Amino acid sequence: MNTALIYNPFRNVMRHHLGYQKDHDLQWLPKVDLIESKMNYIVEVELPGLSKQDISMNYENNVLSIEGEKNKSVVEEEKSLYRAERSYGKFKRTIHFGNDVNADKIEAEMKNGLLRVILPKKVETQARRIEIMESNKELAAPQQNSVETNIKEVENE
Amino acid sequence: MNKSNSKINWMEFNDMFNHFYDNLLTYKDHEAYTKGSSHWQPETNIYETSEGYHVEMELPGVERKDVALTFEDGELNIKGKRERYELSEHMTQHWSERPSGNFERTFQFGEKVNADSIQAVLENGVLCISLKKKHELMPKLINIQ
Repeated sequence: MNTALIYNPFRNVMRHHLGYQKDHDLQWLPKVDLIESKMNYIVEVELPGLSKQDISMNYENNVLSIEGEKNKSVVEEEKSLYRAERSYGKFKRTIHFGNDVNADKIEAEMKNGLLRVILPKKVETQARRIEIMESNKELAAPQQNSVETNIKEVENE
Repeated sequence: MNKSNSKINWMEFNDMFNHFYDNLLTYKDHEAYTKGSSHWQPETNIYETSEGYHVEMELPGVERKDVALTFEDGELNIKGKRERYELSEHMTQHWSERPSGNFERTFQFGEKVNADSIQAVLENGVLCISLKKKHELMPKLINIQ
């Protein structure tokens, strides 16, 4: 019998509740929201119990990565546990973006255990209205100089 | 309902399993269990020490003014709300894992807790509540003659 076909509901349950990850040593995944506005991308990450010193964040090759470790306090381990729903240990989350993020202007703030990262978009990618020239004289006999002038005018508007 | 004897009714089995698993999680033989049916149940740890109990509830992004705590008939009730990020006209939500809205959880401690001793702090998105046991239940220091 093919063992892969055996229904084992415990496997996923245990994996979920014990934070078991086979492929790496990450123990939990913080919950993330991603919002896009006209000017920015906004990422919200739930990191309850952590302060900004516990988190490291970088942006490289269009990937935002947030990692750190949530530790149990020594006092907690000594007490007897009735209910254990909180996750502890190492975490890492990566979010992929396109080429439109202005990496130099990324800002982040930590408040009430919630990390909010603002990633502004590059100005070039925002929508721009392009005007159509009425004069067809220049189109009929295009000259290098006049075409360049026209483009500049459009950009100024 | 389609009655089939040769096949296992997987939906029924699934319900049975979930029911069993839910019961496993509620720890009814202990002094603390969960009531309430809101879809968002903030993750909570409960510890017991010789002096009392400690409840830690994860509430990232929740303001102090949006949480209400009561203790009545041996039951600790925690309820509150978290607002969803306000989306204006030109905003799109691409990814959403964070639950929002109202939450409510109740934990039963019975007659063991001294209601006047309860203290609560909300720090870095974690609500920490400490409940002291009644004086007569506390460990007593006995002097050796």
